Amino acid sequence: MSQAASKRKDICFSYTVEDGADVFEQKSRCLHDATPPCIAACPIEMPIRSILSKLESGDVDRAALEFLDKAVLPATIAQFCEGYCENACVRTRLDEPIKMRELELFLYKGGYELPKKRPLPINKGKRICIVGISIVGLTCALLMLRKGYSVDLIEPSENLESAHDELSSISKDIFRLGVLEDYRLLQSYDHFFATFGKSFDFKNTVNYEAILLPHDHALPSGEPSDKQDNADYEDSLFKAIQQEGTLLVYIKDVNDVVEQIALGKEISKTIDQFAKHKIIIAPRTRESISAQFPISDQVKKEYSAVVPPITMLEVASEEAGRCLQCNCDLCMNACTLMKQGRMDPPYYIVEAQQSLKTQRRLHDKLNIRRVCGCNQCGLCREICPTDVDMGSVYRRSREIMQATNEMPEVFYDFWLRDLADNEEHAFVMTPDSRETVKYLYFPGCHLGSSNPNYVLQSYRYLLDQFDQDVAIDIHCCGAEAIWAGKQDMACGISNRFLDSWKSLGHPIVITACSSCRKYLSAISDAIHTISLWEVLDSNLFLPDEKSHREGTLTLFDPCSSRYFPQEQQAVRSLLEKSGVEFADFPGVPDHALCCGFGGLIYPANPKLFFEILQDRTSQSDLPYLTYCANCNDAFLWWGKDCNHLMDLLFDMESKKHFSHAKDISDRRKNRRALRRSIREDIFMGADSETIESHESIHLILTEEMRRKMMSQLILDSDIQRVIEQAERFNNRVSRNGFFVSYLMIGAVTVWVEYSVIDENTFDVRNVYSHRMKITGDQQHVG
Amino acid sequence: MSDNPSIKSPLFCERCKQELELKEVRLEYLGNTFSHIFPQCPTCHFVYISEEIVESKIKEVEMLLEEK
Repeated sequence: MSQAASKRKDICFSYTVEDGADVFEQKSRCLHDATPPCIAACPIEMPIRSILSKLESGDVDRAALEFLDKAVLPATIAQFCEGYCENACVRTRLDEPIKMRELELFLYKGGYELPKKRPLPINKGKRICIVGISIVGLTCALLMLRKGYSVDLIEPSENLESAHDELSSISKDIFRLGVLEDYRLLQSYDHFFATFGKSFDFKNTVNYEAILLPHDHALPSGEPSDKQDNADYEDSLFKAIQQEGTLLVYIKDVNDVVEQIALGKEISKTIDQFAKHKIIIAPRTRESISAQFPISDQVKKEYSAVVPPITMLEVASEEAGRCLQCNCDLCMNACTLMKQGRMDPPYYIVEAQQSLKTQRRLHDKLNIRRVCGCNQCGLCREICPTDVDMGSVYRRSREIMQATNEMPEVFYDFWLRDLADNEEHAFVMTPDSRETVKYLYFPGCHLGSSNPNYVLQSYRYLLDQFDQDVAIDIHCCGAEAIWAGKQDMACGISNRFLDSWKSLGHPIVITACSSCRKYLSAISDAIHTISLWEVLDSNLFLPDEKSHREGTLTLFDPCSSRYFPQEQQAVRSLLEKSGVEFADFPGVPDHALCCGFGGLIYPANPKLFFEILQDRTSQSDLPYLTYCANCNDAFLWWGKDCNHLMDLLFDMESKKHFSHAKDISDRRKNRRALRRSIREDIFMGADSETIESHESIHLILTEEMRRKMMSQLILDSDIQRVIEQAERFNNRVSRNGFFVSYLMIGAVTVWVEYSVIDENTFDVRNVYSHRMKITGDQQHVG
Repeated sequence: MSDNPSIKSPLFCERCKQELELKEVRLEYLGNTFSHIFPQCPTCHFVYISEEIVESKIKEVEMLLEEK
């Protein structure tokens, strides 16, 4: 399945995995605070980010101590490590890897000494025996000494220098410059005892907790150790056998110096655990990072690699500063919701998990503003290197909250009533009443309500282009039901569409809104969709000259266009051919953003809604151009100079009696006007629209009042209804010559202060609303 | 909740032709109930809630309850 197709597949309904498990699985994929490639590659898990961060800021002391502590044998590491981290360094994708080995040498030569910690009293008097000098053995010995154990080293060679002859696996240089140097660290402990020139004899064993032996050393029985079949623990690197309360550890050959140190660390942990609990716990396996670790745009990239050797702090700091401090923060930087929360990505998942619980305990904190603040734009999943999908988690949360009656009704009430209004008057019409068609034009419910001309002009074009073989369907695609978490409603809508589409003969669906396209495509793979823009572009459409706009425009791709790159391309092609100058939206490069409307976050999270609008509209001083009615109207409402692509393609002036909607009340009017016009002007039929009684009321409203109504999602018709019942039943109070009444409409109570001009005309002084209900008062419910 | 701000001029119920009186009224939201003193018609029980109270108190409580 192509990438675009697989993204479409699980957009809305197919959240079939067990919710809780899936959420945690996503959390485990999150790369934030995951081990970066350099540390994952290092056998001893050197804390590279931390050391480099300290070094960059000049905190050499702490950087050095951190290095010494983790290296255990610092001379050996600093001089002879092969640089696993450098091979895995993400910075290599920009220029060169961080010169970690040079920096470690710099720290090592600083002459720092690890302060001795006070040994644990529990370990006092416990003894370990290391047989033969080896890197594994010395590492283990040092770590045990740090913990307060006493260590006996028994080396058969006559002296330290000649011990090298026994060690075939390391070179003379490593022994001389590394091992011998690090050996002095052991000598600084007063509970370290070395005996040379003697072989290890099991009979002379003191009460050791553990004895570390080379793999070819004999068992206490005298047999070779590989004859022992039932080891208490065995893996490829060491074998452990319990013998009367002592742990015998046989080390196998390991080639690489750093791997040997890593093995020594593992063994010291095993011995320590055995000494405490007399059981053997297998060491954990190192994690590996397979995903491509992303490079954040926020990091500094300007430094260039230094030329070794590094002898000065300024040079070391600069090199350390080249470290990208790999920690994936792509979603946090791209998504306004995640940026605003200021939490690390995995915590968003944990927090969202609260809302997925169908039975929540009292102290489980659900962050409803965040769940209902997600625009459902899909950017997080697109940008995440491991496809973590916060959007789907939040969508599912809303579904569960609706199902358990935990969603405050007011959050989606207005939009769902608006959807119901659209559906009540929606229809499918075919030219000449034909049964099947080749094309179905699905403009979406907001395009026509924004401006009826958008739908009328484009539909006329399609009818002409395709020889009348185009039906029109002005239902809703179900996006808003999905965003509101109303699963059943959404399923009803998509089933209706599917049935209608089948009975029309499986036509190709032409969309004029990429969100519609996203949700219609997800209903069935059999539904083929194409955007109006692709149709226009491929049919060599020439825009109306009168519609041309001079100057450069900033092109804002609507969020759902991310799933349809061919649509984005077609738009650009149309603009180029029309001679329109445009620039791409800065925002997050190469990624479409949400305008703020998506996900219906207003009124559930107004603060975030305003923040997003402010951010989007201030990214460029140029006028905006977009091809989604919601984006266009959201920007216009915020005061931004913006056009819909339709404005530039078709002549909007020819039908003067339609105007662009300035607010939600205009949209309702436009919706009815569009239906009327399609029925009467295109299909030459009659429109059977009934006028309700309250609609005959004429309101005098100032601009300011309209803006106030818009922000509280109150319609003209709501006010008409309040006044109508107030006048008819005298349900009103008066003060100073004006009247006040209220009515419960949907989830809110709407108050209107008005004065009477004449029988049908009212001057609206003030409008306000609240969500609380007045109890025990039934007569004012609308 | 504090008391209502002082009324500038009396509120008059048009239906019952009488002045509203301060009474304790119960409001409800998301399963929680509150009492507060509001002008109310003694006959038809029309309750008057001013915009000031909505902006100063009611909105805040509604927001808190939604986030609970």
